[in-house]
Amino acid sequence: MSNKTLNNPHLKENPFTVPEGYFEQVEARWSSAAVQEKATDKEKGRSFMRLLLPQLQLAAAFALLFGLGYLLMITITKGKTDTLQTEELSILSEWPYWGLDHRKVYDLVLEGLPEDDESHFLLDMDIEDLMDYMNYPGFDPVHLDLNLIYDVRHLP
Amino acid sequence: MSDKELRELCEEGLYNQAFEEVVRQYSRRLYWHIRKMVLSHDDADDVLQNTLIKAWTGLPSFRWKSQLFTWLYRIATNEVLTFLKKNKAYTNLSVEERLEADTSYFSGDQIQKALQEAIQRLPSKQRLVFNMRYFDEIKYEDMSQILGTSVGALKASYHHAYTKVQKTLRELLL
Repeated sequence: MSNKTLNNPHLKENPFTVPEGYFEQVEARWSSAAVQEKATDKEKGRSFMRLLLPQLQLAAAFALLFGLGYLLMITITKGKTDTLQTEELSILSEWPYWGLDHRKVYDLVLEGLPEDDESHFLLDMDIEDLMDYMNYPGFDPVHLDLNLIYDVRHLP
Repeated sequence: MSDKELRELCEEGLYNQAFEEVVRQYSRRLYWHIRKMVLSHDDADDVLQNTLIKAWTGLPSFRWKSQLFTWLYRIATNEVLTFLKKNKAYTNLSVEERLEADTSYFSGDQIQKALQEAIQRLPSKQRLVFNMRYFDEIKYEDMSQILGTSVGALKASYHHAYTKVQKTLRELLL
């Protein structure tokens, strides 16, 4: 019964073993020369990082400047677009006086002229030609289909 | 080489030479301390390497206020506990299963295997206390420095562990 208790000295013996020459290998792995090599490798790693660090910092600064510039550009462009749209709409809102649907004109200005449109000859007229045309005897401006005139540059 | 001589080497900046001596003097004790906790030789080898890396890195900042061996044991113990935490699934296996892959490095008989089984059933910190006291016969004061626990708590812990192991051992050998 006593050999089944912890008082049995046999139980204090080490039951584990290691591969032959294991501890000698550990000592060789950590010998002065090997440790020196490890230290040199570590130092090399540090030196490399020391060289790389300024380049990384420079790259990070450029990235930051670029990011800030891009943000600034987006903010300015957005504000400008909004202003233009407001101005254009305010001008175009006066157009119903001429019998034009300002929304339609605005869409056309943005989209451009259709290629097969036959009224493009009106675009070649300057303001004097247009006035002459409108003053032609028997011409009533009320009957002029101004919806055919797409180019706003020729309008007063 | 004594702690004093090792310290002198370090103070002269001869860390590599000092560490070679540290490995020569302490690697076996550290290995067995680790091996009793993880059981497998390969795992013990990995944990020992990690321990030595940490010790080598930390040696220049070691202040020599405590004994070198308690500092090294503390590093090894932390590494063991980290290993056990990371490999919970593996360490939950029975001793029989864990030793199967490592049979060539276990030469114990039936009663020694039963003892290892009983020890493995203890919580990891109690197992550490039991191994350090029962096998390595480390003084409670030194254990207190290594584990950062009071002497009284360690004595109580060892007493509980001893009683449990004794009981389990009897059951296993019925």
